[in-house]
Amino acid sequence: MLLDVQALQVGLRAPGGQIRPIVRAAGFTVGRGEALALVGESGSGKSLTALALVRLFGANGLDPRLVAAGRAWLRTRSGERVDLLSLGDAELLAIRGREIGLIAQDPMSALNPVMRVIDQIVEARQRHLDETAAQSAGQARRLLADAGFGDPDRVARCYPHQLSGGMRQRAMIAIALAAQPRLLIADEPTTALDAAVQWQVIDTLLRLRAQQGLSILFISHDLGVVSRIADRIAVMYGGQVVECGPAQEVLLRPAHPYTAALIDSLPRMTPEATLPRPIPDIPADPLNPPPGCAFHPRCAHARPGACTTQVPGPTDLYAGRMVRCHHPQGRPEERAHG
Amino acid sequence: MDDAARSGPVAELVRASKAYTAATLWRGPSVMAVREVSLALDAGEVLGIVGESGSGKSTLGRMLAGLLEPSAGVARFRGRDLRSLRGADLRALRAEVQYVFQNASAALSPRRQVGASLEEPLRIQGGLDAPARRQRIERALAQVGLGDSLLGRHPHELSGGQRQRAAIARSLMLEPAVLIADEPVASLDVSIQAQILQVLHALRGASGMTIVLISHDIAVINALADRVAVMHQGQIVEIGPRRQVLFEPRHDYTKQLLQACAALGLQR
Repeated sequence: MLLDVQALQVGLRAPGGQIRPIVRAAGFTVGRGEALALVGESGSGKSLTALALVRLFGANGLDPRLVAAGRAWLRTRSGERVDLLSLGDAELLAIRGREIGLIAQDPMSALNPVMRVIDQIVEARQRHLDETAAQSAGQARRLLADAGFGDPDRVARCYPHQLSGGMRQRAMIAIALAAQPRLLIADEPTTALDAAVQWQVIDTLLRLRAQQGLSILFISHDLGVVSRIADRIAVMYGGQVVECGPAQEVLLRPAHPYTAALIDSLPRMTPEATLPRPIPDIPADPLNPPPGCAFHPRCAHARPGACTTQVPGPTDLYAGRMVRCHHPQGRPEERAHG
Repeated sequence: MDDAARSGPVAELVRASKAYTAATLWRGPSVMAVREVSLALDAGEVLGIVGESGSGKSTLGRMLAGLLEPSAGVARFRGRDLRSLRGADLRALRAEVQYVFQNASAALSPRRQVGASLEEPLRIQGGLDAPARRQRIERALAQVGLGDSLLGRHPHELSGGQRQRAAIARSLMLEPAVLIADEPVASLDVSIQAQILQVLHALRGASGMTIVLISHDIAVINALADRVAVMHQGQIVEIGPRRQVLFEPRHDYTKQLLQACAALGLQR
C-alpha cells in the first residue's frame, strides 16, 4: 500500500482555542499504480483532506487556523513507512515534490508567472535530485513529452501566460512529476477546462499511470470525469467518507443514498429529454452538520431514529466496499422488502 | 407592434459579426469572436448553444441580448434593428431580454441585501408602487424555488445555488420574454446544478419563456434544449432539433465534441 489514511481529521482552530472539526474520520488507501477518486460536493472536505496529506496549511501554509490529526502512512521510495501528519517541516520538504506531486485546480495560481516552464521543472528537480542543472534541463523535454506535448522544446521556453488552459495544466503535471514522485494528488485538475481539453488531461494522467505505475489521488465533484480515471471511488459528504469501493461498483450499484442521489443529479445524454433529479436542500455545513447521519435531512430513505440521532459507523459490505449508512441500498434484505 | 413583428422570430441576428481589438501596447490585431452568424430565435423555444471556450457563444448571446452591438450585420428584436432603438424603446428591450451570467455573485451587489438587489430593476423601470413591487419579488422568488426569508440577507450569506437562483429571480423581475442564461450552472455542484435546470425548465413551462441556454456541457444542453446550435471558431457549424444534432450529428466538429463527452463518461 502506497498511502494508507486512517481516521484523518481536519479542524479549524476557533479564536477561543477549541477546534471545530471539518473533516472527521476520512479513511482510504491508495495502492501502487492505482487511481483513487475522492468525490464530493463543495464543503464535503475533499480538498482539505488532500491538502492535509501534504500539510499545505497549518503554521506555514494556506490557513494557519487549520489543524490535522490522524494517521496518513506513506511508503517512501526507500521503503520506509512515514506518517505524513507527524513529519517535521524539513522532512516534509523532502516529501513534497519527491514522494508526492500536487496539481491544483487553477494552474495559473500554482505556476510561477515570471518563470519559463523549463526553469520551473529544473527548479523542482534541483531541489530533490543529485544532478546538474544542465542534466535537469535535459530531462525537461522528456517530462513535457510525457505530459502529452508534441513540441516540448517550444513549450519549455514558454511562460505560463503563453499557454492555453489545458496546456498549463499539462505543464503543471510535468512540473509536479519533475522529481518523479510516485503519488500524484490532483485536486480538481480538469474542472476549469472544456470537455475536449479535460479529456487530454485525463488521457495524460492515464498514460502516465500505465507507463510509470504512477498512483493518483484524484479529487473531483465530476462523476463523469471520475468514471474514466478511477479504479476506486471514495465518496465524501459532511467531512466523512460515506462510501468507498471499486469505481464500477460504486457508480452502478451505489450503496449510500447520497451516492445514488449524486448520480441521479447528473444530466444524461439520453435521446429522450430527461431532467436530472436534484438533491433537495443544500449540502451539510461541514462546521455545523446535522445530528445523526449528516445526509439525513436530504435523504429519501432517512427514518426517524438512528438516522437522526446516531452517526452511522463504517460497515463493510464486502472486502474493499465500505458504506456509512443505517439503511444502505441494494442489500438483499432491502430488496426483499421492496 | 404589428402582427408581422409578433409572428416572426422574437430575436434575430443577420450575418452578425463581432470583432474585438486586443488592448495591449504591443499587439493590436482584432479577433473575430463571431463571424457572419445568422440565427432566428423563435418565441417559446429553448435554444441551446454549445461550444468550447472561445468559440464565441457568449459574444453571440450578448449580441442577441443587445448588450453588444455587432461590428457588422444586424441584430433585431421583434423585427426592429437594435441600433434604431432609443430612449423608452431601448428601456423596453432591456426589460424584455434578460441575461443571467455564470458568476451570479456579480449580478448581486455584495453590499446590499438580496431584496434591494431584486427591487432595483423595478425601481429603474418604474411604474409599480411598493406593495406591487413586493408582490413581484415574492413571485419571482417562488418561481426559482426560494423563500422570502433571504430577502434580508446579503449575497455572501447564501449558498452558491441560492445565489444563482437569486440572480435568476432578479432577471425575472421585469417579466422578460427572453432569458439568456450564459453558463448558469458551470460553477455549481451537480446536485445544485440539477436544481437550476429544474428552475429553467419550470420557467419555460409556466410562462412560455424563450430561453437561450449557453453551455460548454453538452449533457446540460441535452437536458433542456429544443434546438441546439454548435459553435466553433465564431461560427455556427450545425443547428437543428436537439435529437438530430446531438444524436445524429452531421458536422465533424459536432461529432468530435460528442466524442469528447462520451470519452469523459458522460454518455451513460
